[in-house]
Amino acid sequence: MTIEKADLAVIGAGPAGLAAAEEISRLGGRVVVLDEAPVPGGRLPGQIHPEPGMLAFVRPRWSNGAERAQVLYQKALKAGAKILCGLSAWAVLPGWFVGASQADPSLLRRDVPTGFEAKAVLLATGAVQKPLPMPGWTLPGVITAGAAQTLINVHRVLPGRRVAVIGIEPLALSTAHLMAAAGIHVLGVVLPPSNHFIDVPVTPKKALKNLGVAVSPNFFKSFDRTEKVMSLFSSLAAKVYPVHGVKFGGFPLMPLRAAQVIKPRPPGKEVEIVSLAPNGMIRPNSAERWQVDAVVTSAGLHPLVELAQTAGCPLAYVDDLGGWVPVHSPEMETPLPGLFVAGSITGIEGSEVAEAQGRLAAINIAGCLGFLKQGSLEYKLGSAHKEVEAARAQAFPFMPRLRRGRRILSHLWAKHRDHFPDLNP
Amino acid sequence: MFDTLRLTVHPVLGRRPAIRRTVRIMINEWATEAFEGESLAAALWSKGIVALRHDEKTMSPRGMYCGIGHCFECRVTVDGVNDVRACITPVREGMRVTLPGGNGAEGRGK
Repeated sequence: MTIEKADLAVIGAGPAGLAAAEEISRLGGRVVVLDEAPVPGGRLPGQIHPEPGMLAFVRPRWSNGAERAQVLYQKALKAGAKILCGLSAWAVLPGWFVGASQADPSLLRRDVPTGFEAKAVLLATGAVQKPLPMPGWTLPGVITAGAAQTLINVHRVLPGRRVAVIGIEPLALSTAHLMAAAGIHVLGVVLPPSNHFIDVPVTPKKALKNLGVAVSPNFFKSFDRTEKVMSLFSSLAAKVYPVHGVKFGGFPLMPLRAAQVIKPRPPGKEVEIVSLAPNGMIRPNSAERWQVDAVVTSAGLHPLVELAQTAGCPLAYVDDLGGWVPVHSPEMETPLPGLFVAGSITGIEGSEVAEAQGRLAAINIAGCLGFLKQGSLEYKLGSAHKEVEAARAQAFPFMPRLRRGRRILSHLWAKHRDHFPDLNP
Repeated sequence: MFDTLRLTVHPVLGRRPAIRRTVRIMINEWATEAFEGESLAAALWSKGIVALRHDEKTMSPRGMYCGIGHCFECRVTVDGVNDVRACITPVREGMRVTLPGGNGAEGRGK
């Protein structure tokens, strides 16, 4: 049993955690970063895909997250941060204490600390794919889009030779695009069945509207107007869109078809596909069966907040940000003194925004720990804020109403200050 | 090493390094190889092994789902230790993996 001491414990070695670790280390703070994955970078190494957006299928711009992960990792190391991979944080307790254990319990090691005492904790745990529960979703060979990206980009293993993609949203489309480019026969990207557990679009009209809004937010001057235009457009598009799909980026996008059941059919799986009317009604006698090796599902992402819960941090459900998020200030502090958040745990956004948020959080933490003087602190916070906004303006809007979500959270933060005065001495 | 699901040319990263170190692993009774540094789940997947355990309640087969260690569906037994998440555990020399029957590993390499 060894307990290590640090000024700051960072949980998650993704873009937010690594950027924050670099900043604090550079200011002279002792930082330890832990991550349960065997390599640093969080989701970055798996993110080699065409950037989603209007020209994604015409002139794709491929992002290389693996390269960015290496740059961030080397910079944090050079600044003096200690980065421990293969270590799971299982609790974060006020005071602050982080309980940790080996991610691989079969590995016999004695040099691994079992916990960390720190003056502050930064939760940069990121996000996880929402499950897509439907008949057959637990069959081996049915994986999330994120798992498919990791298989292809990190391990260079194909999910299968013939693959069906269920779920029509940005992550599903960029994964389908990647798979087609890797030589996989993508039979189609289709809607999930309609049930109470799925909160991605299940009707052709809604799917087309969301896609239209996602590729052109604020295109018609304001978000509300874009939504209205896309609503009209999608009613029309759902009527004229070919049932058998249109091919983009090497795969057919089929918003008028939906998967109903996945069944085992050795050596692979069989997916039952039906055709839909624009409002989502199943067309009679339209069932078809696809024989595939693997099924990739995607229902979007939600913030990974369990550790904030173990710490007792108040959470808020903000749909526009992807679900439950820790209540936090625009400067990334939570109502618990010494507990900070950055990256997708605060709402689903891209890696560039996460990195900028990590640096913003670090400056606030540096101020709280006394590594920055008041005058320079305010100036630095101001410019770090601008960096976050600049990254946000460039980024693909995974959550189209993200800005509204951020505003809701600012209001909540202001309210929390009054409701929990004891948390804010 | 011949695994049917290995990607030879990645659309962005190109050809994989010509020399990649391998480690020897045991999958039940089957002595085989995997690439150093890759996850156990990826190594098994490349050999066509996707069913990793049976659900304790329903006995239905399960395999990797989320791929980031969150869903715990890919738990396997490694060197006699239960509940090792295959998706975030790198392969290592001499690793022994125990899988339940009906996963495609039987009779391989004999």
